[in-house]
Amino acid sequence: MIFVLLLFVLTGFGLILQDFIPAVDAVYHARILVVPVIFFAGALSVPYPLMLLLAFVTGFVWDALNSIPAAFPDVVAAAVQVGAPPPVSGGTFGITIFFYALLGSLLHGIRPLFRSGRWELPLIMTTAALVLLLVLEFAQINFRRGGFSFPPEVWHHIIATAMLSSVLVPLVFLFIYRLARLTGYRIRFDNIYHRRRLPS
Amino acid sequence: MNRLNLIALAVFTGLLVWVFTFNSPKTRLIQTRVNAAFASFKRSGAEVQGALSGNADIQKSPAQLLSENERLTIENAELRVYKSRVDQLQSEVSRLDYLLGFVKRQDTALIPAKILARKTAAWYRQATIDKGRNQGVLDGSPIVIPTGTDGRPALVGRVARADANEAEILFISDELCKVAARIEGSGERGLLEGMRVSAARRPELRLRYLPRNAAIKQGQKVLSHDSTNRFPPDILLGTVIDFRDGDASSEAIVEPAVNLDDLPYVLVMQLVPEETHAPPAAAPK
Repeated sequence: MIFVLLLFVLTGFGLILQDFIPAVDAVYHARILVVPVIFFAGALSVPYPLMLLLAFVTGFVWDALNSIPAAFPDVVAAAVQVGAPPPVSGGTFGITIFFYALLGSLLHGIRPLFRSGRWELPLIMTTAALVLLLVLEFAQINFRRGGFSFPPEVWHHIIATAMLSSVLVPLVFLFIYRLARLTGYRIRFDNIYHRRRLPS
Repeated sequence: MNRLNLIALAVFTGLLVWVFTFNSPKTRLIQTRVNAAFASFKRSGAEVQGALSGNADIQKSPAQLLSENERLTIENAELRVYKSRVDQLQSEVSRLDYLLGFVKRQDTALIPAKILARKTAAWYRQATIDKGRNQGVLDGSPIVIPTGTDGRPALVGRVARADANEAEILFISDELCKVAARIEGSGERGLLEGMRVSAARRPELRLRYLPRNAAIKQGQKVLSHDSTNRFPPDILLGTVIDFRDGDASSEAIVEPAVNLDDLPYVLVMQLVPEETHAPPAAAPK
């Protein structure tokens, strides 16, 4: 229980820390995404219902801090005058909750590996989830815009952001393991046995 | 999937649907409260970001400060003279407006603001400024800076959300920051919008929904245009660098008048709140 509470505190800390990290203009304006990394690592360490709760809280606060309100009234009027389609807002409030829950559910498939102390695949999958999250966000922007376009610059930005953020993944994994040990929370399976072929 | 997981998923789906049904005022209220909770961290984060990216305030020597102070004092004196002339002209224009029965334009007092931080989300071209509703900043207010030798106001962006003492601004380079625009010296009108992802160092804008075969040349200025009395007209937006004729409509590629990467301070044009908008006055007889 204490571990789960601390996980929420860690997410809050991630939201604060995110404001301290600048974009790297030289690498396609990419930046380290702390909050998704903490969420994905947290999702691997807690049961499914708690992962959903974490997705809800993280996505809700993220959208409250970042989503753009509705279109400006003067632009709506101007669009009508020049025969343009009415402009839309930046995104649906709450869509990040859905994205986090979706990707958290995918990551939950490899939770047994994380629990057995094998980090290779969870690390790769967390980076893949970061790429997927950015692709989903951009696809949503495209959907609202009414036309799908993924120019090369978008892929450069997505890959650079995911790569930069992936540096943080093992550190967060390690931190979560330490946190679990300190609070007496059991992430690791202690009853996993690998089958060995017995000599005939 | 076990029973507990299914129940959790059902509850989660219900909560998600509930969030999706939030209307604009409710969303706005939540955003204001959450942003207020994170406001102090945002300011310190901005300072650290500035220091890390080399945009922190440069320390100046006393001699440099002295000479700058001298220059600013002279400039201030000149501006005070100009202001008194502008005030005289303003009252004359108001009198003529009244006589001709023109609709009174919005008040466009300027609020100086400092850019605290560029936004952390992956896709939006946003920033936070250190002025909010308490200082008169409203949603949709234009953000300008003076450009050229004549100090003509050029558009930087618009206020996306004004909180109590801070505001989120959308740069003109973001595709959500649309502005009704016209080409200077012609009657062609369209919608100017940014391109969210661009390989160019200086972002390019698109002036869309122009009529086909419009007579538009490179180098023509693009200005704001408003027929709704909600946005100040004739703010400089950029310069046409290319023109593409399409099947249904045409579009011009526009270079912004402002270098958005180098903006420590901006000016917010103060608008009249939406609810206090007076209907267009009838011409006096």
